[in-house]
Amino acid sequence: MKDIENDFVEESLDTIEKADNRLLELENNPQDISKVDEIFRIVHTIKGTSGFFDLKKLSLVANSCENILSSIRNNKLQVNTAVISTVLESLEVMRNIILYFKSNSKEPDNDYSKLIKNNEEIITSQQTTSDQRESKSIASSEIKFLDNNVFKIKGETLDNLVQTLADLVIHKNFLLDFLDSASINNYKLHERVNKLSFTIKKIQELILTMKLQPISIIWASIPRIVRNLSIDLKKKIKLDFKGEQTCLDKVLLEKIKDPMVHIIRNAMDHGIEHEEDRISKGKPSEGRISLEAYYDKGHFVIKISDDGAGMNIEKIKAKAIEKQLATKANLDRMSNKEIFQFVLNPGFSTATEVTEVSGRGVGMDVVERNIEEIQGSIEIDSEPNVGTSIILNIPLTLALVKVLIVKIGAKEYAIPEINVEEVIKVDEINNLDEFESKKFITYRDKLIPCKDLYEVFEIPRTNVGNFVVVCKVRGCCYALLVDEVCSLREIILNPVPKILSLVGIYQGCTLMADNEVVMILNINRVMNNIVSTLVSNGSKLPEDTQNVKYLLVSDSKAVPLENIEKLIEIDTKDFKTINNEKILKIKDEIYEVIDLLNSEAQIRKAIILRSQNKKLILLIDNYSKVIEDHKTTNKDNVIIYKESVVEIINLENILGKNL
Amino acid sequence: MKIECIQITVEEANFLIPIDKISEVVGFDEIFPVPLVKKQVIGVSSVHGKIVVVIDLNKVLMLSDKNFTTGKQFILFKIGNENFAFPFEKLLDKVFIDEDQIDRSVENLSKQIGINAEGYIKVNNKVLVILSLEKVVNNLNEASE
Repeated sequence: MKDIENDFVEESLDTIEKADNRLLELENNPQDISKVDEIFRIVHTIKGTSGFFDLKKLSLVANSCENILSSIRNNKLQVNTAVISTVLESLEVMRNIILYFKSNSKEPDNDYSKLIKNNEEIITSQQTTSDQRESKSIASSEIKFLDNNVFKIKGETLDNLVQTLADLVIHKNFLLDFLDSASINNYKLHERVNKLSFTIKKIQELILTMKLQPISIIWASIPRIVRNLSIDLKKKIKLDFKGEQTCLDKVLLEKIKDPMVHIIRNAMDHGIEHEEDRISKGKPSEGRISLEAYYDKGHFVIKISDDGAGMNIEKIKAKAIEKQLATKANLDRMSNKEIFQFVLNPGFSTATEVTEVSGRGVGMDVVERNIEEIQGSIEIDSEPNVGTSIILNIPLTLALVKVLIVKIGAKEYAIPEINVEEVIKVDEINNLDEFESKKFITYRDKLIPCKDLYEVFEIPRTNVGNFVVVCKVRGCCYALLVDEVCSLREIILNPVPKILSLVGIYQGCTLMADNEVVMILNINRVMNNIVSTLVSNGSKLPEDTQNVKYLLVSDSKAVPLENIEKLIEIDTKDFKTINNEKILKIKDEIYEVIDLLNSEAQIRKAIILRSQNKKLILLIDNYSKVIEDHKTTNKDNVIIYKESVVEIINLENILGKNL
Repeated sequence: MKIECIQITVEEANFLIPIDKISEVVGFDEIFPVPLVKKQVIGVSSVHGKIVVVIDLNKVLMLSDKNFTTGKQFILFKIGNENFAFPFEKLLDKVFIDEDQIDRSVENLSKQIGINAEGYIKVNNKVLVILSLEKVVNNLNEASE
């Protein structure tokens, strides 16, 4: 009996969603009465089946909805916005009753007589005068019988199959490891194991395909949500879909539905401007929200974009300072993309008005948490008056997750592959710089913070860090220093037990083939730890208690840390001299070079200094340490550090001197 | 109603645990420490393909300052969907206790034992504390919060 109930619930919910969409299509094209026939059949089937489960209220609501649809079919009622809204409301009530029945095996206690009365009134209030269509023969049967080769498989059976496959993959990995570590040179054995791997991979693909569903399944409800909200907000909004047939594991599809709806509601409320504002900005009066799904680097990606006002970066900065998440100096050093990610913090809202839809600062952190739960990541980009894009990066399945296994001491840890940008050997990094206890590396011409996993774990370092794993979180890169990088693995993801999850930096754990339990790191949390350490020495420090920090470049000279873009080593042979000025070309940019020491050395340490849009290279002696316990003086560009006078060098005074 | 318990010793203190709360007695080849967790958690290990959190009952009940040493047996139990284990020294008798005879005034016990106990009972002229494994786990989870 439970199986029949489940089938009824699932099928009814599916068909109600279909009916929603047909209604919206009907609203756009009221002459297409075939849509009414389809909706009528759906409602009629639900009404008929509800009797079998003794769902009297559902039957009554369905019946009154059916009466409206019947009146349209009989030309007694014309299709208009009010009629569409009434039928949509009835479908929503039917959906809620079915969902309640699913959880409680009975109907809710609610009284639906008002809705039924409204439905009756809408029929009687409208007189149809014209014949909208010719009498139509009874619709031919569209019942499609399942092909003999098509079977229904219970989700549970499929899950068990996936779990068994995951076990098989783990055993295969163990076998491969064993062959490698034992240095067995039996060609036939290797060949057989490789063939076994290939066959398992094929089975894996086939089984995972069985679990995949197109994104259109969850996109189906979006037009109704957007329609209703656009009426409430009095905004005209057009929806675009691209990649509807891109598939994802059904479980994951269900998990991303709510975050996606939240992002769309935010875009409609805060992003898209009102018609008059759009026209005054020279934009089309109708706003646009685009949903795009595609695969990228073995992941499923959803991009939700709007053509609205974009995020207000100044408001985000002000809020970040107000909430003590960053200081002004920190914000000045951050890229716009890094600043946008602040909206993912709990309670972070720049909306001055709390509306029914949003503005309470509850939401984007929950969106991020939901996406993290399924091992995904989120990225935000925005441009003033052009719009905002939010990109959700999701693994194709949760049954087997790809991770990078790294080693700290003798213990292995896993980093989700979705966060891994690149692995670099430490001796290949030209600039692993350390300012006091804080490390930085130069990665793709940018100075990025680097954290030692030993420090994250608060354990003393026992080995030399041989590798840096560049990780991407919220669209920004950070580096993690680890002892060894072992391998890229497919693992079975187990939820982390509550007592361990409260530590905050673990998002799962897994059992390896040799029975070792490996913790999977939540890179977002590990990196937040980096950001907060960089922002202040603890978690939060008010702006006025922060001293400006300087990098001491000689005994008597220092550079403000906030002006430093990068620390580099350069070969003076690469300089060109034009009009007595030293010039250096790095990639596509030409820098003026200022030498503080006029040293004869060929390889020199240097700083790329940045201020507003100006950049130059400053050749220095050495960078010894960051100073913050200095005393200010009444003279510009001079501070006192340990009883000595230190000259402050910044771009403005260098350019001033040169001019 | 009679409750079947086993009597165990942890750091020379005797405790009773209802048998129906115990999954089995196991040994672990290796326990993997987890950085940053509370000192009452020794680490994680696995049994029959399931991940197990290993708790140091000595530290939970504040029995002694000794640190966990390997080579012990462990009592495996399940709370909700999560598996736990803790080491013990000796497995003594199987004891049947009368539920009505349990003194539930846990406030008479030391604070740390009291909050993790169901109550206590006199068996063969000895007072034995009946541990509540649910309370042990719930208190640890709450303490972590």
